[in-house]
Amino acid sequence: MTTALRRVARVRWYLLIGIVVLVLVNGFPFYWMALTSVKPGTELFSFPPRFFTTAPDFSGFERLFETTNFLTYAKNSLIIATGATVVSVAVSALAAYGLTRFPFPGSRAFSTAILYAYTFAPIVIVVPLYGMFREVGLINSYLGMILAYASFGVPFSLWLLQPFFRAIPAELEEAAFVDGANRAKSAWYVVLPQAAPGLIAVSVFTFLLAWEDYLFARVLITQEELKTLPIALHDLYNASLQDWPLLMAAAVLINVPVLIAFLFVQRYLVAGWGAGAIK
Amino acid sequence: MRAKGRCATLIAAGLSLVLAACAGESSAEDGQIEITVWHTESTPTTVEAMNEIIADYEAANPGVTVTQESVAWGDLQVKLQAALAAGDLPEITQVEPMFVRSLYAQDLLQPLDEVVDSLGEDYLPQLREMFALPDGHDYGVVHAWGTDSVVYRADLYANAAGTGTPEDVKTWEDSVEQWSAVSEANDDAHGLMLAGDAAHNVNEEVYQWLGSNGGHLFDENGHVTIDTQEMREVLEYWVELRDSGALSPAWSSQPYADSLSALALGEAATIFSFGRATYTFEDQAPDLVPGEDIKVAPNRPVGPSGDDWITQLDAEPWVVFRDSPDAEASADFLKFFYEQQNYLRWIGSVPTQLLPVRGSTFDDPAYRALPEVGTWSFWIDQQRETLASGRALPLMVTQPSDLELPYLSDLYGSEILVDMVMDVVENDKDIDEALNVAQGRADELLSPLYED
Amino acid sequence: MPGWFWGALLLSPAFFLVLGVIAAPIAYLVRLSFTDAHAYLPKFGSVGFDNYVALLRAPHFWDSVRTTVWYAGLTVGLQLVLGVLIALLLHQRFRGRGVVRLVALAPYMVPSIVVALVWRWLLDPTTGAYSWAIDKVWPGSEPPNLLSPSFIFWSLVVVSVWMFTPFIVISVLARLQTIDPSTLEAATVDGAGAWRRFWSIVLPELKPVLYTLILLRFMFMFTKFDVVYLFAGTGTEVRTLPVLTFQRIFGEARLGSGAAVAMILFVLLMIFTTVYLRTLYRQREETA
Repeated sequence: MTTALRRVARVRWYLLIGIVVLVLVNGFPFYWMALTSVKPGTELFSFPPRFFTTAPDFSGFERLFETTNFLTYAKNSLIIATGATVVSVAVSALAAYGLTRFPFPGSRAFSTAILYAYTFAPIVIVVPLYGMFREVGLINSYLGMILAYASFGVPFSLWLLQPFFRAIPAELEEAAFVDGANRAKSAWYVVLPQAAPGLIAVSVFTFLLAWEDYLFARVLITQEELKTLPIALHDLYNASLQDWPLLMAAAVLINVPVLIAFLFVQRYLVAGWGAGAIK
Repeated sequence: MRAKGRCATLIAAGLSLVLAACAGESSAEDGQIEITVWHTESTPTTVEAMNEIIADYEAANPGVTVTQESVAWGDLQVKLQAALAAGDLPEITQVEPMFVRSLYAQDLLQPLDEVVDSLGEDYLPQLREMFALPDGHDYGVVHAWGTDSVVYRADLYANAAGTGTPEDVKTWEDSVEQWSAVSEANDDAHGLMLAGDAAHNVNEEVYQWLGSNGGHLFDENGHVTIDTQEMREVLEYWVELRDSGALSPAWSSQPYADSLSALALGEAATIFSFGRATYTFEDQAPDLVPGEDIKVAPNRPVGPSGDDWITQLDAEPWVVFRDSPDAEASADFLKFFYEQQNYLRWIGSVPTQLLPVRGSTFDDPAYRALPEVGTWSFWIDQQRETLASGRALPLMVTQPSDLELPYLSDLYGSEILVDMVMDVVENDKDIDEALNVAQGRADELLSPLYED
Repeated sequence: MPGWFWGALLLSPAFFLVLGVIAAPIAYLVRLSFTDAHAYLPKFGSVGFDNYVALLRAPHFWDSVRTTVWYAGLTVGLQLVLGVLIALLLHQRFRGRGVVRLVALAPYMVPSIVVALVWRWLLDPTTGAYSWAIDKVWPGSEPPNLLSPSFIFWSLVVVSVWMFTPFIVISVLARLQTIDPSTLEAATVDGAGAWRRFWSIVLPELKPVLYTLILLRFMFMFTKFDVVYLFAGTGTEVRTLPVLTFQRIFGEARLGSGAAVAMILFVLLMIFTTVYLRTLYRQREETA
């Protein structure tokens, strides 16, 4: 009995060390980012560095809003990421429903092709895409960016959603038919809610993809008023005077919405992404 | 049920956001003159000055809308290439001097003779000559200029008794000796700091040092020449600076802005810098006295194969793209920009970096009254002397005829020179091999573009 | 209407989106890679296989291939080992697990540009917090400059592993939750230690996921651009194939040659994906 207890105690001890190391390694960069954003100028370059501050100074945030178009960038990022999410999720939910409910000759080939598309890297197609968007006038437009991100979200979303749709028993829908609902209605009220964890997972995936992307935005946007947050931040970093509190203030603000959203959907993510990554 | 309703509302809200966004795009009112100006002076005060100039111009010229866009320095090239490919050029932009010929060769530029004429006889000839092309027209007008200077901390040099200051340095050999002595004498400071983080800054040093060693990047046929004795000596000099302890080991990851901080914070006794650095110094080291603790040398060290030194002339011109229906109006806006009261706003926003293009402005009481001009007059005078001496040449240009080659920016953007320097100085590669590799890559890159 | 009609109809938006934004650009890319197109000079001549031949002959292209394989292999290996460890840790029951999970997964949510800036700031040789800490424990007088060419590759590996391990954690964690706790309990009763239980029960269960993850993440890291470019720049030490593509096009203005590098990446991806799909189908057949 005592040996068993001791074993448990030892395991717990390792566990504790593991947790502490993990939290430190993963958490410290976030702490440092937040700290830098409120460090007064006199402490900024002090060496050894100061690991806390007693006189937080929010002028970095002030400068961010006064001397840069931060709100415009945030608006652009929000519009583009939301748009891409809506388009991508709608399109892939339709397709997943079609694939699982109405298999047709070639639908299996289509699924495979989609998997190939999933492994695509933006860097491979960014230049030809640029050339094509130029031809059809989609450079410097929200629509162009939304389409670009949405189509990068679709393969993964479709792949991930299929098992969710397949797992919903057809009887459930048929029961709704008996109640007088047509197929569209039953899909909306019966199938979609059942697939909610999957839908949430792919929404977050697509939103993040668009929110954090640098490459497409760098190449497909050349106008100041359409810049997204990542390229705006990179430009601020490249500007002649590097204002670290301002840069870190921007970094904090870019992260906040994402981390909050993450807090709420964490549960679905593990279920949703897990299911997708396994199969 | 409630959850479903919320979900539908969310989707509807998202969709309307998208639609609103797409609808909001169509702009372009007809019959209006719209001028877009790109520039690389992203300092907030300069952007503000341009806003004021634009507001006055629009007030005096109803029906004209001018929009400015400040582009981070390193992004201008990418952005301009993208815009060229997209056929979506601004009306007016600043470009690197080396890029003017590329644009001219494609017949994209509007002659700006009337703008140059409006500047009068007073327009500094060294600036005008760069963009007065053989067809008799001027295709670029410099917005403001500056030269790269040797900036040093006299107080740190004083700690190394008997070594003198950069003003006493004639040759590379002297400089290695002096700067390593300064490193020795100061606990936390190195004799020299370079900015090696961006390819841009490494390219800058390579061409300036090569030019100060009698070497050239291009031969008389305009063909690239890298594996030369002069270049070999540049690399040897670099290695010596490293080995002697003169050069801070932090150099290779140092962004330009941080190299200025290094001088202000006493981590380096010498840097190569443009005038904007004064703001970093005033901000981070308010106790240092300009002209006493912080000084500039009127000279740079000369390499073993060279007779004289060169330094960088930072003098981007405005160019106007001729394809725009508003090209004429754009030239008119530039004339307005150069009118003295407007122009003083522009250069007055960062007076130590943006030196005026008209010689007489230096004597203008309104200019002299700017506080920075008072405090840092020694640095401004040094830059004027350097320009007048003809030793200041634009990026990648070691001899004036190089400006005629339309592919300088290809070499600049290729990182061939940067790889060569890093291989030798940071990765201990053999110098001859590095020279060979660089020559081979440059030949492959540029030979399809040669005229012969 | 027959079922296949509805299937095709529902599929068509996805089909056209993927066709227009992914497939069509590939066709254009193929064409571009056989030309000498220049980014701003008006050139667009056919050069046959010249771009490919020049690339395959260039030593720095092969350096770039080596860097990419090395980077992808190393980061995936480390991510996998750490990811499994962290997932096992988070699978335990302890107080505050929710918060720890959030912290463990948070790096994955951060945009690459933010990761790049924060880590450059942490590793700055003169003012960085981590540089200071390393200075404290470094035996010699001058601690290494972790952002210099000699160390940047290793710093990049650390940053990439920091950023991308959470994805492995999520995937492994999800699989762990499906392992029947009673098998583990039974093994404990039989006297199997933690180590034995891991090797004989948990690992075999995880095997298919890990296999999938290795392939998928290798492809992902092989084509990673953002964080490499933003954190480490374009120097030879970190010039992976995606960076080389970018550099050819936007630095050297060589559209044709850049397209050829992109095509090579594309073909490699196709090969990887085919291998991946085959193992996937085989796994399915085995479980079926």
